[in-house]
Amino acid sequence: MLRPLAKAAVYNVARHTPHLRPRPLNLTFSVTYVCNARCKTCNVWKKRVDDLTLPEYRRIFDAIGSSLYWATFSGGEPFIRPDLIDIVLACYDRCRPSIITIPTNGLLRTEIVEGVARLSRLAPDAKIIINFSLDGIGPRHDELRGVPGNYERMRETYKELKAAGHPNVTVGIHSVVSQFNVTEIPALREHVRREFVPDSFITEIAEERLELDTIGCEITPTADAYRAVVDDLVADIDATPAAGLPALVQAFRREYYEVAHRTMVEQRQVLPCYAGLASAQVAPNGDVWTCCIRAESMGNLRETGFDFLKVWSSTRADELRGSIRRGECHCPLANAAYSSMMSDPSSMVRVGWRWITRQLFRPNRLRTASPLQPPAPAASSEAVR
Amino acid sequence: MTDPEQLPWRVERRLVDLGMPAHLEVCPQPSGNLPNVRCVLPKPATGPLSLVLRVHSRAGIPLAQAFIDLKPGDRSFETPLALMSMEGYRHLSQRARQDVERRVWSRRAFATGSVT
Repeated sequence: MLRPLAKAAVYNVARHTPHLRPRPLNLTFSVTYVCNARCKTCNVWKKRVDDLTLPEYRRIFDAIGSSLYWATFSGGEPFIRPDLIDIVLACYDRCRPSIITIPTNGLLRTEIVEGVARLSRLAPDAKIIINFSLDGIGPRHDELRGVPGNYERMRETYKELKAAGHPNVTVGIHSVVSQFNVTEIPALREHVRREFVPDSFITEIAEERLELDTIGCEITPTADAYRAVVDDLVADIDATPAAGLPALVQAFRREYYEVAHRTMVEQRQVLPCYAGLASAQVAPNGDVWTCCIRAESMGNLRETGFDFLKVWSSTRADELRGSIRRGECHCPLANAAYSSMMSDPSSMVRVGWRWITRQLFRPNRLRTASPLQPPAPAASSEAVR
Repeated sequence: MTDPEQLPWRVERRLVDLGMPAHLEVCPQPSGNLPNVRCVLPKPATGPLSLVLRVHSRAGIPLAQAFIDLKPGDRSFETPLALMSMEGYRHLSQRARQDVERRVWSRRAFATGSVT
């Protein structure tokens, strides 16, 4: 946690110094657009590009070096690539990220369970987070995801992975809040808490993204409807005991939910965005984007000999950073928002204040516990909010 | 005959100082292609100028862009637009691509201009 906080100060300076371009802390690698689900909130499966190969990824990771703190491998459905774990391990060996996140729809049980077991064994120093998508309860999930039986198959995969008990693996649930399910989120949260007991529960608003080809699709809930969800999630955070690191994570998430809602209401960059500086995304074809919302290429890694730093320090990259800095775009993208919060002093003051006050005024049943002691299993849904 | 569509145009300070107008004119094109955008300058360009023009959604997401090179003496420009992130749709028919383009273009809200 100290490494990203130390780098956050550098990003803060760099945002105001156009020619200072520190390497990113947080990179998302979308490894394929291919997907075996047909979600109402995503059209990415309709896209086709020539995906980067494992040897190409190795060259990219060599160029990036060890600056990464957080690496995410997304898709499409990332586990659909037979070489996904090899790609992740290549990143681990070369870039040494502390956190590796892989979102999944949970349909490919064998690939996920065996792949994560291998990853856990061969990347022992990384915290690995596997987030299962869940947008509704039972058949409602199947309907939103466009796959009959998805809920049951995902649940089986989830249970098996959770039961494996890999020491460095966090198994979480991720829900997309769309106009289709916005009124169902409180019930879904309760269902997740009761039936899944995940290590973490995160939600993200369905927004119109170029990456997912959802521009012009009516998927985003209204600000008023989303406010009700935020109120529910925040109330749950405030009512749930947490201490130490989990409480800090909760403080960040509470801040994020408020930022997401304010961004929707005020239609401006409420939180100064550090996409293209602290975070970025590599598309399956090697394009480097500031973020998946804009999906504007800073440059293509194949066209630059996989020289990430050449793309990162290009004139085009500077021009895109300038556009973001001027506030020409705004969005509630969670992945970039967390990096931005860490780089934004006023956000960190609020997060820090909430964290400290939770240490001082947390519920009695945790008051005797060590601040770093993980919550008991029943309360491990502390991260469920 | 209806008036041509006007797209609000926000430009950075250097372009404001050059007297850029506050709106662009949307010029429909035949056969379902994306429209061009046209700008009439209040006074001729005094020197060479390269700028990037982006069309954004209400949420500020850039949907389409164009790169423009003005020469000294230019009094206007008209440029076609390229939609962002269409590289994944090369396998689609032209008609299917145009369907995607129309859907994306339907979200246009404003344009921005900045010097490159």
